[in-house]
Amino acid sequence: MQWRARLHVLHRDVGFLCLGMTLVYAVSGVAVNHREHWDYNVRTEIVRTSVADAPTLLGATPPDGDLLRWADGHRAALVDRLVSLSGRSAPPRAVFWRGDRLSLFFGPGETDVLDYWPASGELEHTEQRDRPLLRQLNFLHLNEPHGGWTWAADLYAVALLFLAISGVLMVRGRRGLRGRGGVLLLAGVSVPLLGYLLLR
Amino acid sequence: MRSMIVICLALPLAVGCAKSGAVDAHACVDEHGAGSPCGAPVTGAALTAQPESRVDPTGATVLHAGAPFAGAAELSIADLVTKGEGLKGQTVRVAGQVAAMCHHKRGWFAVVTGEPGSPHVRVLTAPGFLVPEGSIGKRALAEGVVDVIEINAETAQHYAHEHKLGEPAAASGPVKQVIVRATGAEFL
Repeated sequence: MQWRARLHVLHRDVGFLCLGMTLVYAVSGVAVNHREHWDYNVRTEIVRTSVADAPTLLGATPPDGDLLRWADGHRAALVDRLVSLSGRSAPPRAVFWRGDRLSLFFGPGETDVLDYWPASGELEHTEQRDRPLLRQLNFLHLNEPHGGWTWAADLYAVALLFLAISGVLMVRGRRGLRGRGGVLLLAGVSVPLLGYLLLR
Repeated sequence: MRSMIVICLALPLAVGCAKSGAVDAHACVDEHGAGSPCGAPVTGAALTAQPESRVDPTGATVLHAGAPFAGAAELSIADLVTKGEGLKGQTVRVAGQVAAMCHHKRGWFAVVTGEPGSPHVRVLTAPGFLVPEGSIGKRALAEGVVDVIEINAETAQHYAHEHKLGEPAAASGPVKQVIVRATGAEFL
């Protein structure tokens, strides 16, 4: 068997082997590439409703002065009312003020947060969920597992290198390096080259 | 051959167009000329370093990211905000509740006292270490060097809208901000 024919067989087989990894890196690559426009791992849903201001909610009249301070003095009662209003039974894991809003944290991070503005009576529920499939692909693409996955990713990179080089070498004649293939090769190489020169 | 000519002409054009692209409002912006997060991402070993986990005497899990604490004196958030210029360059310790963090590059977090109307201080962790995921709502302790930076209106708006840090109305022009460039931090 000639070396080009062997290369063709190898290129084909490695191509089959690489499909799964290519899908992981390509799909996640596009998602991560646009990280400035969206959160590629997490979907955030924010629902804002109007409940009642703090005096109405607590059925009390605050003295003249700082409403936030007064509301903070009734923090436990306020939290109880908000927990009840949101249809929960378990208390939040953390409660503190973020500026003029009282924040109740239920899940880890910002996965389940209630923000309450005592003056306006607005209640905002923030819920974060992992994007199905994309979260798992990003986990692998961004090498979050480290360890053995680093080697698997390295091996894939070497396989891609082999696919690229073997792809260039296995065609000869007018469609190979000396013809159409050569022009396309130059065009392809010019992308990173121009990208670096023009965008750095 | 015609298709190849089209490709050859289109490539430089595409690259040129990409260069003139507008900045997106959601961008994790480089907010200071001094060059730091989010513009300077966490790289190298710091990117893969995992925070150390331990259990404190109360049974709570504590995550320590970055360098061990050197024992700097603790300053209140209010003191940092009001006396920031005079503290520039000093190594301090600051404690508070994590009110916000950079989700894109995990290069900073903001602490508040947890009292109503409390100001916030941003703690920049990049390029030294990553803020552990899910840190919002936790209590944090950080050590680092105080700095005062000027952020432009667009960045201030980004913090106000995306992270609810500061009032959008107050972010109509360049804003001076006291920050702590952290060497290490604990989250519990």
